[in-house]
Amino acid sequence: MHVDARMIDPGSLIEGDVCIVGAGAAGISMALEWINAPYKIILLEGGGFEYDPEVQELYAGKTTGQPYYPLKSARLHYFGGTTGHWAGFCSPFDEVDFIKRDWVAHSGWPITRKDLDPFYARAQKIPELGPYEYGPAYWQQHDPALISLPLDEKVVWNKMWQFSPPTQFGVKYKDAIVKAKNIHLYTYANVTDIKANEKISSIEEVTVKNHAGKTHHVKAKYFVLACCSIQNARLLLAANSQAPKGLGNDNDNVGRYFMEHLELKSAELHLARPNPLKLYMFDFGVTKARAELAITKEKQEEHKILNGTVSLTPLEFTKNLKPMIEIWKDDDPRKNHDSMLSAFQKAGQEASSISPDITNKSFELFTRIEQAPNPASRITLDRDKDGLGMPRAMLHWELTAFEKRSIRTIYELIGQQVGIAGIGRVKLMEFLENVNDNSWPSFAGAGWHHMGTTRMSDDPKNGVVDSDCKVHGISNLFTAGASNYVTAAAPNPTLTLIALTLRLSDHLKQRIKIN
Amino acid sequence: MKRRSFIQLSLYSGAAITISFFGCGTGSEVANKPWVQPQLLSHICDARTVREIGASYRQRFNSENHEKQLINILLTDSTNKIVPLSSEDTLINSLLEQKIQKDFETGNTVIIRGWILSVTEARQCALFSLTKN
Repeated sequence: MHVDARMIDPGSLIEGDVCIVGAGAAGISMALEWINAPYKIILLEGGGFEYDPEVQELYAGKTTGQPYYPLKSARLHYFGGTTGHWAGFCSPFDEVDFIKRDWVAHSGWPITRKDLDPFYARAQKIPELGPYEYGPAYWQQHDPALISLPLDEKVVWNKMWQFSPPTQFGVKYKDAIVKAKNIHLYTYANVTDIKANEKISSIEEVTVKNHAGKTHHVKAKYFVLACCSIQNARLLLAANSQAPKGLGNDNDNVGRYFMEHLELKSAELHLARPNPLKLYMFDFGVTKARAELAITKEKQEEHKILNGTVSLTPLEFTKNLKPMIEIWKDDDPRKNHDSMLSAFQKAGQEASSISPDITNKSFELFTRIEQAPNPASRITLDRDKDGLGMPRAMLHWELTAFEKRSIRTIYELIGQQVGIAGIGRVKLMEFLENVNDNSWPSFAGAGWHHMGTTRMSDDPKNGVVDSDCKVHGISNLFTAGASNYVTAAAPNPTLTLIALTLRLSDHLKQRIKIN
Repeated sequence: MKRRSFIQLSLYSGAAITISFFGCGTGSEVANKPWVQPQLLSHICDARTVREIGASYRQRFNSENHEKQLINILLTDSTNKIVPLSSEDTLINSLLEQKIQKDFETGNTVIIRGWILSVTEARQCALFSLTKN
């Protein structure tokens, strides 16, 4: 059922078994799991079913450090969350992403890829992906034109991506959620405070507000914060009336280790003979799966580098495309989205008149790489407050020389393999040429992938939540989504956050049954 | 990268395609030898780019900034013998191809003007920049 929290009596008390805060990819994935379960689920969404500028304004905030997109337009604040305009890129994290890597400080999840595998398989359905098949062989069987580059697989391998249509969760799952008798969706219900018991060992209620001036309270047995990495941290930090540093923040970890995927054009692949490289190409809305070049775990370890992947796009297309950090500048995400689509369209039109003999000879090599977990890269609270009285979030995004060295090494390895294969040559962009230059070019962008502000660790000193995504020291407070990530890996975060949410959902079902 | 407008395509052995850069020689004894230009690189760069790579290489490795020395290094085989300059071009081409392959396999690469190159082909570029205007 659906209730507009602006329309109910002020000071209403809403009660349920599980309260999910946020109806984006994580919140909706979790709610779907509980449909028809013998429990009352309260799903709180700050916005409505459509974009609302006043609600979106609540996400505005300052950024410092590495230049970043405006925070206000880096997420969508309505039912369905940022799936309202995502591109649908999905791929699981690699085994190496979960392990403790002695060359990557603060790495090491308390769970493994194996632990997450069954949930990845289940997660595939929600964003309407194909079978849980991420080996190129499966896709090559179905399309023999998907030919791999002849590179040594002990060094460079083909990491597959699958593409969601892309599923807009708010559209696809609205009916299922609204019609479910036990799911009580409240729109225009922004959580502004979290109240714990006297010992701060469990949560008693959350306060919700909206621009209609209504304040309500929600009580539940379990609370799940699922409103993305920035807002999860913001909520915990702002809940400081009982715990001065914020809830779950005894060890000053909340908001720290904010991670993004560094995304930027980095090199060019020039082939001696034209080749369409179909396995590696992406056509929005058409391609079901494609590969990106990745470096093996062994080589990552040998060269002590981060995990990243390289996508290939004809240079004739990308040479007419402005970097995203220059396109996505407005505070209004809709305008940015339109600008981005029109930039892609224009670049596509200009490239379409070029002969395939030229288009298929030179490719831009574009990096997507994890950033090293960095406690100085973080979300904090501003003194400035939003329209509902909540302190605004501030982002300090900080990169290190490690990311740059890793990118450079990735291309050196690929360049070497391309040379061995005798198929062409790789040309680095100027910013990667000087090994002593740790600066970033103006076109360095990111994937709008916010991760890691309530990181997972079995040791409260090193993380905010345990391996069950439960906030340390608080018996009934959980976080869902990419805020739990310990490392960012290379893939877009959506599939992993859905898998992790399904895992949390199973855990909560067990827990609620026992209690 | 600028597109070539002055290249000639010809077929070798029915399979390999070789591209020759036309240009004025400098009077060097190897100016017209096909092996002076790096073969694979010639498929993806124009003559000017190859010259620029060569000039940058010579600037960075100043001790190799001499035609004779570059020729000797390029023509030295795996047994440290220098293949005579009078040898068949195909023999020298084959030697250089092997050296380039080995360079990549052993990581004997160099980054010049962003290009990840085998040291041998970078030296070819250097020689090219000295012998072709």
